[in-house]
Amino acid sequence: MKNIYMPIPVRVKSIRSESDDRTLRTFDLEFVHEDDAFDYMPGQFCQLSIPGVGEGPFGIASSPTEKGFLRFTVNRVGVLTTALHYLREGDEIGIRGPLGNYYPVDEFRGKNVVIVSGGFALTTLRSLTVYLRDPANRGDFGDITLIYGARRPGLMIYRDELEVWEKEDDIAVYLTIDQAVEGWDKMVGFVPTVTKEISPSSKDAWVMLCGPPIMIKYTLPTLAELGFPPERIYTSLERRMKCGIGKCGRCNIGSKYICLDGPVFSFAEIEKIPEEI
Amino acid sequence: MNKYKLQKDKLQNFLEQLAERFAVYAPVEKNGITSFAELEPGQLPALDFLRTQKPPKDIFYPQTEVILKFDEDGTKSTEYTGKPIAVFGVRPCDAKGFVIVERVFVDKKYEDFYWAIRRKDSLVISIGCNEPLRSCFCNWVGGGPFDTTGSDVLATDTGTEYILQPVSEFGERVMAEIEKLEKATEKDIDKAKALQTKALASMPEPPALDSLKSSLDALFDDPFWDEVTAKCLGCAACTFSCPTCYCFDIQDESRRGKGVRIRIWDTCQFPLFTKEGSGHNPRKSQMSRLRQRYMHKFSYMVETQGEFGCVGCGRCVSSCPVNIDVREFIVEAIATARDKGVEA
Repeated sequence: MKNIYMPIPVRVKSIRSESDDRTLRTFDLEFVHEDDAFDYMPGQFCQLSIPGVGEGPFGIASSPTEKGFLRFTVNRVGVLTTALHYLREGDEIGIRGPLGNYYPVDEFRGKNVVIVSGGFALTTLRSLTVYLRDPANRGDFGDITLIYGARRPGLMIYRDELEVWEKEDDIAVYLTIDQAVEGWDKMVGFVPTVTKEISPSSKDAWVMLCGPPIMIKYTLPTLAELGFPPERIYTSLERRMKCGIGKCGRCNIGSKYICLDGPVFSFAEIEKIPEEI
Repeated sequence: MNKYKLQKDKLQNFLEQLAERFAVYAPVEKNGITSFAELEPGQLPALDFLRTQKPPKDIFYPQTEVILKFDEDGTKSTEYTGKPIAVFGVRPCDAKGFVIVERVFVDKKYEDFYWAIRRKDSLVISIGCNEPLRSCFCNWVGGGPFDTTGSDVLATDTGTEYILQPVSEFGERVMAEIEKLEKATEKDIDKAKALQTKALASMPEPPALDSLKSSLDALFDDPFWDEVTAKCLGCAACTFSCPTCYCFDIQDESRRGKGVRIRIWDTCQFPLFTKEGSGHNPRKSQMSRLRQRYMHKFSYMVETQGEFGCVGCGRCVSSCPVNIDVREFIVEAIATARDKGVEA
């Protein structure tokens, strides 16, 4: 009998600090036994486990098209995430996954994709962006637009990579910070406002929207004005989670389990759920 | 299938025969609390009450269980290595409870290892309820005092003997292998049937619950919930005593390089249940937490399982320190939705 609670051993391949306030760290993990490697899709998550400390869910930030590592960006908030931040290269931890569903890439094949994100919610959307831009996939999708905001430049994650993407011509990248600071020559303003300024066309386009609740709340009306129906706006939801596989009973919103039925939902689905997201 | 007759004075022998191949669990009374436990050799079950205070789900799903062990050699899973489990004397509501929990723990996608390994080759012998209690309401939610859901064998207590009616093939096979078990006669079977009919007739007629789910869905944001949950203390006695509540927490404990991962029953009635690392809690009020419990049982599980996630055992009614009665809640919900004209 297979034990779904048994973590698979992974080794920390590399670590880097992702924000100037040191609350965010990015880990690249590799499987200790190559046979354990699994396939996954952008938007799925894993349970990371430090024996004796605990286990928690984290969205996969690497793309399945990137071989040899799994990437996670971890915000230090509690016991487990603090222990994760203390890891060193070469340390072994456990992983369970991939869990949950993924961004509906099959639905928007051949269409345009608008990715709107704020803060450190860019993780699984980075996975999606890399996946869409992979030479094997790029031809299957239309225009890709990425709108990403952070409070200030130092909190902007994957910044080096974003600045490389800015120069590429197969993706339109708009980076914004909340308030102007010296040395910042990109956009300034909150994500909802900037989205309105850019006004991406809703024609044949799908939106993937992830960020803090306040950003989502104010971006949705703008997207509606631009003509995006709720069926074509997707987000990734979060809840406190233990098992990740629909057993422990705590991540439900209405009759849906974030871990099993999500974490990716369209706003058409979310509208039917009674509880607040 | 053949039916059998077990004289009560032969019960010990019957249980001993079962114990040869099963770990036999039955109702016991310990420190004033009634619950299910594995019988010691020679121990007789306590059968002079209907339901145990603690639900029998802990037979297959212990309240606290070490699931993983960690040391310098790595991580190992614990494994149930005992004999297959036989449950004797469970009531039909609780037997149905096993089925409801099992649909969660063993679904299309994932099988819960620790539940499945204890359930493997297990046998459930239930005893029907000749005289349902006033707090019993199994007949409201699709059950009955002699419902066979979840049982391999259903016993009817005639006073001096049990009439054993196999429900599953496995139950039939095990009964056939018990030595000195008499076949029940037509007369015995008629006697059992009469008791079953009488038991059901003794229960008050249940209200129609066809519109319960749609009523609750329509009332989700209604002030109705503030009223029905106002006196709730959030103590969670209802969830811990519930045979179908299955939520759990997972916690690690460690010391000097050795540690364990433990699974513990948890409850949606505690604020920490949904409190996130950021401090955000999507269910801040006790209203939202009790609403979650009721919505889960009477609306969400209708969607996910096709029936209510309640077996009508009445434990939540008898264990609530402030006398919240789920039956009153149900009646109130249907009436409120009807009066407000919101029922879908």
